[in-house]
Amino acid sequence: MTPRTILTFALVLELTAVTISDHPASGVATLLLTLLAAGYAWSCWAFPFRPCPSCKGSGRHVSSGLFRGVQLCKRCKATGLKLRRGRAIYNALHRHRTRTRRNR
Amino acid sequence: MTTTENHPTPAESTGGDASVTDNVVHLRPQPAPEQQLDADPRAEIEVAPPVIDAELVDETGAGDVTGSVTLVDQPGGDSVHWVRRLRETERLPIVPDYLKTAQEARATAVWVGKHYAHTTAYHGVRVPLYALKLAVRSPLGALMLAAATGRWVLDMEGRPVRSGAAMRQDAEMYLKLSHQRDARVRTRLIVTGAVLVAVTVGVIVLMSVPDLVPSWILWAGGALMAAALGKYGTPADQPVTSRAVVGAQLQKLTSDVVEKALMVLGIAGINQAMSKNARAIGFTAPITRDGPGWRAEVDLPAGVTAAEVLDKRDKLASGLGRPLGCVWPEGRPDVHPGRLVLWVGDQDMSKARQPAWALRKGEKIDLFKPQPFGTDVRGGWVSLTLMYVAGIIGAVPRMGKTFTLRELLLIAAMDPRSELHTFDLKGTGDLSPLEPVSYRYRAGDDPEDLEYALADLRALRDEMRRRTKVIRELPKDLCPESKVTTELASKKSLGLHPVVVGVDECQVWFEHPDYGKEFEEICTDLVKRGPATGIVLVLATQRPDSKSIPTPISDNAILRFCLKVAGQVPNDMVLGTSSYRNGERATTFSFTDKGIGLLKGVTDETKTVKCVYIDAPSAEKIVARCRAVRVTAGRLTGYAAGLDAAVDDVEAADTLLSDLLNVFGSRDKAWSESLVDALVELRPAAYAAWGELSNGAAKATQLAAALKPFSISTKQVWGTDPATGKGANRMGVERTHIADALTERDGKRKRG
Repeated sequence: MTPRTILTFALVLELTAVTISDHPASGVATLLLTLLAAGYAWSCWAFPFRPCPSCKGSGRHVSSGLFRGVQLCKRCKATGLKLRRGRAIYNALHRHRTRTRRNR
Repeated sequence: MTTTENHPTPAESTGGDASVTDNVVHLRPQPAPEQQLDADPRAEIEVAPPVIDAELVDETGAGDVTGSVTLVDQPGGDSVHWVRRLRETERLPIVPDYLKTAQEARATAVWVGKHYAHTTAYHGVRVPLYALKLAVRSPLGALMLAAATGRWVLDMEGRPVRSGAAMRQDAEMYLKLSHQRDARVRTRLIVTGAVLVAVTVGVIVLMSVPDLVPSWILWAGGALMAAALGKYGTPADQPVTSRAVVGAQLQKLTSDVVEKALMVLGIAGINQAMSKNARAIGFTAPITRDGPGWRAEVDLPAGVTAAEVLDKRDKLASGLGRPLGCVWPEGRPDVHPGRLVLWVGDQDMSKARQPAWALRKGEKIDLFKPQPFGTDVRGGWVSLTLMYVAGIIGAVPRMGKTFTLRELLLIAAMDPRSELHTFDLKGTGDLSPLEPVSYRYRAGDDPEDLEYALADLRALRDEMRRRTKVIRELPKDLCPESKVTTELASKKSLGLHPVVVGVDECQVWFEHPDYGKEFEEICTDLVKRGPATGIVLVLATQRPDSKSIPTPISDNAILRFCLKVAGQVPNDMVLGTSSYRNGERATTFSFTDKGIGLLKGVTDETKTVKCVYIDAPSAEKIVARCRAVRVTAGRLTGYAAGLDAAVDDVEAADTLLSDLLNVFGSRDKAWSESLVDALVELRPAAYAAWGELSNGAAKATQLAAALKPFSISTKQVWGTDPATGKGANRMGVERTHIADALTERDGKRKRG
């Protein structure tokens, strides 16, 4: 937890509080959105991969034809897993930071 | 284009003038012109091949040189025979020093035992504090234990790898790692759950069933668990227990430190050699522990002697960053003058504890055997044999001179055969503990004390003469080396027991205007001939110069002990001429080095020795024991036994004046020879020796010598020879002088 992170959290909380007090409806919406974002962030941390949307996590495609031919999923390279978008963004940011950081 | 001798250069061949030939540079050295003329041209051609090319070819010269060269350093390694090489090796002790003697082993064991006893006591006292600390830290420990268990169950150590796979979008690897994690977590959950359930059930059972186990076991178990948790929750930098002993901060002596210290001494030889060769200072052996300190054997650069370094002991100590009392350089002239053995102690010599003196009990000893006298810088005992020596102790006041003399006399007193003549001319009674065993004892420098001492010394000289006769007449098998041995000393009938004369502030004797000469004469005799006959003279003085210790005495003394002195002259006076120049410098001692001095004459090299500190009460105790030993041995004599026999001799000296007055009768002046004759008549027992003198002149000389202490001189006196009746001028004395001297003495005695 860097001081900047803490500051960001505090700012978000304050904004939320202010919004709730001024416009209850939009305030509640903001709160919900924040919670949703936090939940998504946690899922990106705990489960970086999600089932491949193409093969539904099976890693292969079964044809609906007569012989039920099996074909490995190309999009997930037969793993059935696909990196979450959020994690991909985080990874990109992380890579950018490690690349551009002056002193590590 | 190069030329040879035979082929003239183009310039020469064209017959150019001198200025042109001067410009020609010969690439090869040219022989002298006359040689060129003398030599046969054909021979020249054969010797020097024509050089066709411009390049210089010099084959002949190189070949000639290699043929006749003898190398200074011959090839081959050590040509020393292996037996010889083995002979020169040093054998290291099989048993370590601290286990060599039973006494030392016991001392070591006791010390180790005490060390651990101290540690135990230290922690024992602090047990409540430790318990409190553990109790306070146990909740945090429990928390940390729970966290660690959680991390273990959830396989947190594999998380970075899984995260890395996600980072690389390596879904396949991630899949594998996830499977592994799942499997691990499953087993670990089961194990943890089982343990938790077991513990919970156990605790519930123990709590609900009252008398299942004794309550103290429960308490102990609980305490143990709390302690374990507390220990787990202890930060690494705040240990529960504190240190019972702090390790001594002993700076190790390294070659680097030694080299630096030697280079700051300002000895040109060392610094020059070191600037040329960084390894100019050689180490012949590894720097090792030697007793309570480090020992380095150093080979100084060529041309530098150890004495030069010894001179600058204080600078060396500064260079090493140690107290002066820790740094003890020694020369090894037996190896070579440039060998230096540097011993650096852990503790200042004056502060280091001295091991217990073996003689402190006052047991009976044999003076003819070496007895421990003091400790050297390493803490080892230095023994000396008091017999066959004459000793000088010198120092500035308050440095332990009298203590040293007292120690020597105490050692002498421990042999019941010995006869102690103790003279404390300072008069403060520093030697009074020795009174109960002394054969002769006086403190003070009053005229009576000096007369007493003189009478004693006269008796001693006679005794020495008697002893030489006894030794001479002894059969060779009893006395093979014509000197007193311990067997001979034990025989009461021979009377060859050791005689030890100890004189503190001896300059009082030798500087005395009247008796000085005679004291000096007798002492010189005792120093020269006494040792072989068992008579030992030990002189202590605070101002050793040629007056306070006459040169014949200081030259002939064997044993020399020099505590701190002020300058070169007293140093050389005690330790011998040019000892200061040879690096034996008692001037480098500091004022805290009480009882530390240079001992010369016991071992080959002069040693720095610290005497045993024996205060007056312990000296008295030792003497009491010695006296008891003497009483049982029937050896208590002289002053100690209440028989101060010397009184007779003193009387003889005393009565001379009154006797003279008696024999003068009514005469105003008289010839010395007639006075002597009358004296022999008056007291035949006292003056028998005088009567045996051959002629009148000898008698006159004798009387003159006897009257000298009273400042009475003899001179020409007119008298009549009773035998022939003729008048003549002969040496004689005036009555008034005698009377004056007598009244003066009596007056002094009354005052005293």
